[in-house]
Amino acid sequence: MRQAIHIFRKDVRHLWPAILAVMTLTGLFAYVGALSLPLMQNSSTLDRYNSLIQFVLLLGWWYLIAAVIHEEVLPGHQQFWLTRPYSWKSLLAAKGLFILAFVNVPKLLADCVILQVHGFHAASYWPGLIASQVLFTAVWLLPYAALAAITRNLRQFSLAVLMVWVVLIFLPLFFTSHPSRFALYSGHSFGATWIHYFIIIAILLIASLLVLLCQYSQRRTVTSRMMALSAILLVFGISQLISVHALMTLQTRLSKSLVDASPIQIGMDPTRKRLRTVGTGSPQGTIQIDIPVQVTGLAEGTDLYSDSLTAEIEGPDGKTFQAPGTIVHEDDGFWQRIYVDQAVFQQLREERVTLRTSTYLTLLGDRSTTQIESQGKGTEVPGLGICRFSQHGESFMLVCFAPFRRSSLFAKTFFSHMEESHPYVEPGSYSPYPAEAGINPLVVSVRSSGSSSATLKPTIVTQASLTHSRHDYLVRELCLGDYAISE
Amino acid sequence: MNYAIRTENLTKRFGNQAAIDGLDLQVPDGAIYALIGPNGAGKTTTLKVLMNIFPATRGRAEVLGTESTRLRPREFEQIGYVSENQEMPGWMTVKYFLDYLKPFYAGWDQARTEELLRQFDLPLNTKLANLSRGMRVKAALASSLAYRPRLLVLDEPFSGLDALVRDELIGALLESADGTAVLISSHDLSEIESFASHVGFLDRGRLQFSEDMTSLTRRFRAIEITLQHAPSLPTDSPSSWLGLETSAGVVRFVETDYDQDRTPAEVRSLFGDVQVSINAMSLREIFVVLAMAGRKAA
Repeated sequence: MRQAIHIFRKDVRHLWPAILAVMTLTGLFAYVGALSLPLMQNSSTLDRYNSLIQFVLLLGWWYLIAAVIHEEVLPGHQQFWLTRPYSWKSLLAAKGLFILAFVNVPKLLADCVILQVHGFHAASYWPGLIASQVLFTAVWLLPYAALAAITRNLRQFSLAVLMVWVVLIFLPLFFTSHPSRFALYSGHSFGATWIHYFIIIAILLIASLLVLLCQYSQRRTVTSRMMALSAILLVFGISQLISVHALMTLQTRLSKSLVDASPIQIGMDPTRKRLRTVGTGSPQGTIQIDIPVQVTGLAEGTDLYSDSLTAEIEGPDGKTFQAPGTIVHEDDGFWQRIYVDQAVFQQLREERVTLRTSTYLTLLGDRSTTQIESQGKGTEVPGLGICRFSQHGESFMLVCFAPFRRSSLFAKTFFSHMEESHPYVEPGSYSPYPAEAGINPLVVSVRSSGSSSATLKPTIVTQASLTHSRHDYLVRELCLGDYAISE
Repeated sequence: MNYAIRTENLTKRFGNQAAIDGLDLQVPDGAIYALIGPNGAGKTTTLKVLMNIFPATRGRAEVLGTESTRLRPREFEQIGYVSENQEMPGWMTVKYFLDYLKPFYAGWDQARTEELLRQFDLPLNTKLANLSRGMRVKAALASSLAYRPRLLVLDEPFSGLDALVRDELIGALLESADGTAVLISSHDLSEIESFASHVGFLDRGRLQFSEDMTSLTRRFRAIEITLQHAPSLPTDSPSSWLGLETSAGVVRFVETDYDQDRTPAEVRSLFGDVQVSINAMSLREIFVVLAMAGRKAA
């Protein structure tokens, strides 16, 4: 440990200007995070720079990590320290200590300040603070430390970071046109997305630790680079292969069921049909088909949320086609909404087809209602966070802040003077962990926004997820053309 | 005899290229061993494998009784390594560099450090990045001599330095190397000749010979035979004769296994009763002959 501290002190002596810059940025991050009310209409000019500060701070952290690791460059064979009595454990510990002291601890303090100022007693959220630090380290620090350990200088490090970004962030955008994966990349809130992120974080964490251990103990740069590349390709591959349906299969197995969902049955309701054409933003190149369905066995005070739905359409010639979709609950009942490829629809629109549907539903219950105070005062919504409503002129906005993660509750917002029997349901996250891998300790979500000339009094109704269940059902002799909505 | 360094069949390949090939090297304790050879012979690679900077492809190396692949901080406390291309922490001043290294070595001798600083006339408050090449080597050497290592490994330390700096470094080396085994790779054969106790000649990754300096200089002789008529070169000359050539009634060659009775007898049996001039050779001359012979054989 003495050697680790000796190396640490040397690194501090050399890198103090960078440390000072990053500390200043962290302070700024805490200041802006504490005083700003992001997305609110009365937000200050500083709020608009919040994202920019976070991005610059992120770059600052990465620079600091790369700089401290490059103090003793690992790849190569000319470094003076290679033949000095350095213990690799001490060297690794010195770097860990540096990152802990100048990245993790200041970030933890900044998080506490932000939480406290926003009305969350930081000490009560210690599981979230710890989990958030673990995830922050696993996602935002360790992979970059691993990249620094396999590069020789800042230029190589920047290229490596760029390469990772291209493979993990930009490349998937070109491969996600398939609607079954649309939800994972569209920014659409989805309860089981945490499993996707959990798998990716686990891969990144394991790969980063392996690379760091391999580099510091053996200095096998080629092996370490191969490991890093394999991890990146694995993350990319998993992101491409995993579907919402697969995630829900996992989620259903992982979740503890609070009620029995077996009485719930779904089947087509031939007595209903859409009376009007409703234009909805269906994925490009698809036709929206709304099929009336009947849900039985739903207990009083409970509701259903459709997490994922895949339908297989079998034409008269036996050929099958896949179509993603969902089940929506409207005034006149439940509807199975599927998106059929335009070419397939044109081919089958007048035919009698067989529709095989597989859907994952979440049963919602434990309803709770909270009236939100008007004009920016924070109202605590149990399990959801603190919500603020503001109305200036005709425009209004309802924003909720939750510490470290999206709430596990499903929420609907109602306004007085506005008729909305089935408003948009903001789904909760099914994650069992107290934090998500974000930088900002507060997860900010806009619950509702719009314009109204009347004075609004918002009410938030929350419901907890009780169980997830899979339902498979068959519809024969279906004519798609009879139910097409947007042609 | 105890050895500071011992290798057995040590091989290092980079792709299909063997940088060192089946090297068997022994550096006795307390010896100053000069590893010589042309560019690309594998000298630097050998030293880096010994220092566990490169892993060996095959074979084994023992450094101060420890497998080179198992060299740990405890062993490195006994080893000094200075290389011509070593990357130094340029932001550190000479003083801070030495102060920084001090806690790494239990045997760091502060009095010796100050003596070395005076001897090398090192500017304490100058950053390593701002030092001249010669000064940088001096700083590296001072930082490696301050803890009185049991083994000093020097990779081309004198390359590109002026004569004065070279003399200073050699002087310090000899002063400090009492009981220290030194393995030095160098092209500066004239300097090495003055202080090396052993020499090894490496060519294309193979050790052509390895022996103590006295035996080597006794073994090599430049032979010149003056004839009355234009001679024809014998086809059955001994294999120990290198670079056999003739011009204007004079035959020249290098005897690599000289014996004061046998060699003149062999000359007489091939050329008759002739005038023979036998001259001792410098290490540099021996090196050139061997390098050229190696090139021809290749």
